[in-house]
Amino acid sequence: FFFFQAEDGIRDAQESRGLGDVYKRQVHGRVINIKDYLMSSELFWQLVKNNNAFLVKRKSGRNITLSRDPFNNTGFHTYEHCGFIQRNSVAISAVRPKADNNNVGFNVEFTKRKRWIRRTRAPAKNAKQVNPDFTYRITRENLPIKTGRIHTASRVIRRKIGITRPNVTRAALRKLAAVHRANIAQRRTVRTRTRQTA
Amino acid sequence: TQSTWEFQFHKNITIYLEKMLARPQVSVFNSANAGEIVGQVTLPGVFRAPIRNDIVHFVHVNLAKNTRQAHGVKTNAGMQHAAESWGTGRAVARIPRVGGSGTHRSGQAAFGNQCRKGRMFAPLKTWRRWHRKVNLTQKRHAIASALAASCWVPLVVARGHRIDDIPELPLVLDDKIESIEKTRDIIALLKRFRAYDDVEKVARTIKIRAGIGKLRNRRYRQRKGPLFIYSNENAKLIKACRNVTGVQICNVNRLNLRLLAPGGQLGRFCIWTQSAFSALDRIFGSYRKTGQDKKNYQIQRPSLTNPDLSRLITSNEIQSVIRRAKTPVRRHDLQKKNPLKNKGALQRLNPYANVLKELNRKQNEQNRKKREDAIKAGRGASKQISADVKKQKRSQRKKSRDWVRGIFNQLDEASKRDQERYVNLATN
Repeated sequence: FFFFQAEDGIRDAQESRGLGDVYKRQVHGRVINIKDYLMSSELFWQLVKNNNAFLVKRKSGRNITLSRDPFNNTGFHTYEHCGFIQRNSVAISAVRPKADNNNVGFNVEFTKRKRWIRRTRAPAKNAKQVNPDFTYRITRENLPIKTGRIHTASRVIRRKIGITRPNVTRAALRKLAAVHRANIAQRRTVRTRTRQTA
Repeated sequence: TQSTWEFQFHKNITIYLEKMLARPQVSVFNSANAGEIVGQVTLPGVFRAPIRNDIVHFVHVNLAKNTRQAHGVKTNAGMQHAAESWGTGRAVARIPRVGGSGTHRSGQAAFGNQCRKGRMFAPLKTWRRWHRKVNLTQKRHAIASALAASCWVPLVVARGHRIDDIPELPLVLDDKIESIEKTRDIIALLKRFRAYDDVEKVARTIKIRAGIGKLRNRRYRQRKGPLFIYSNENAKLIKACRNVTGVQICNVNRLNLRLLAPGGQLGRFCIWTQSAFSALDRIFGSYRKTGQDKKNYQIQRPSLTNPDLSRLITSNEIQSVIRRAKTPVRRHDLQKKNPLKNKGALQRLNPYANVLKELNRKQNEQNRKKREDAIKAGRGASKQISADVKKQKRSQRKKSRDWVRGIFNQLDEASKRDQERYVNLATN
């Protein structure tokens, strides 16, 4: 249950509770997200890795497990790239031309949390905790970015998750580049088509 | 008196219970206006139960056996003969054979599972143990886990529900929805809360079942949509929801694992009424008290207080105690490479090999260049030779030729003389 040895009882309570330095941080007024400790993405992975709605298994060649998860930028079903269970992940999708407009672009979505609430000490028992984060209000930052703004998109991605998740950023940027390339080709055919009809 | 260790232990449990299982406020939405929050409810303790998919799987598998209908083969199938074995000595197998005459059937083998028209091996009996009793506490733990799972977006999304645009999870609406009578009002409500995508998903994917079940009153298969959970017994909501594809409805006092975790898969999308949501504390209790309706039921305690592996690893407690990571040592190659054939292997054994090779290569190139230049120079040489030099060369050649010829003449004469001598000797 806890990480104690017999000798640990001698130490101060603040020092070792097996909870990391959460409380130290809390005491100093830094931001924490309590939900991290209740339901980590590792736990989600254990529940989701064998069976989920996005899973695709193929026997061709070797048995490979793929994922249709929009937040997965590599397609392989692995913990690191299983984006919908992670705190910081990004989904990159193309915007196809529709009947009414010929916009070709891409969408960039993040599994984003709303602003964390700062807390300097533990809240009183009866205090109303209005923290939408606890109940996982679904907020996604959606950036419809036109084809010309791939640099903005890559910058946004890199700023948001570049430091904490470098492998995921790499995969995301790779996918962004691929979508962009396809969009350019698409745009060319769309343009010639409209010119022909016009 | 408790030792310091025990004191710390108990102190930490209470801290954990107070802080780590903090239960936030869940917004209650106005069913008529999705943007308006009309109230707040503290999250019931059951939503902080550990998500035990192993228990849910076990309970689900065993409870699913309880709806089975008994089947079996006819008791006397294949045995309605007075067949007897002919014994040995008749040039036939010793299997019992049908007696009598006048028909093809007489003398044919009977009774055995290997025989045509014989009874099967171990005929199926109706008194097979079809149903399973599952322990009450286990069933309750399963429901608690299923409820806990239903408040996490990744799990509900993993189950396949379309909840991208709903305002909050868990989704709690005010009690007015319990008095909705009309199906079209329910549909309007679902559309208002962006939950209609889930219903559309169900309607879109209704398929005729593969297999013989389609002829056994199980013609269509469809997905599961949202689950409405209400609390008042006379809610008109039941009738309103009945006809909406994929939508199911459940009373909070009679929560069913097959609704909360269909197929044993956690994370059903649930839509709660406020009174149903509030009732959960009374039914299941929390970490501080046991449930009232489920008498003396205590929610399971998680075995890990902190399931976040990355935080654990980077915490002071662990980092201060672990040793430094070892650099992987490879004592020898996994496969021996022949240095006479493999350049890399040779280089590793004899670092001078490459240097030597390079030197040789350079030398060869130089030599080749020299030779080419010499050849080029020599090609026009005969044109450049003067007439005197040519004369000289010709006379020299003539001299050497004459000298060689002279030697041969001497040899010829010597051999002729020898021949004459032998001839003389022979005749004389």
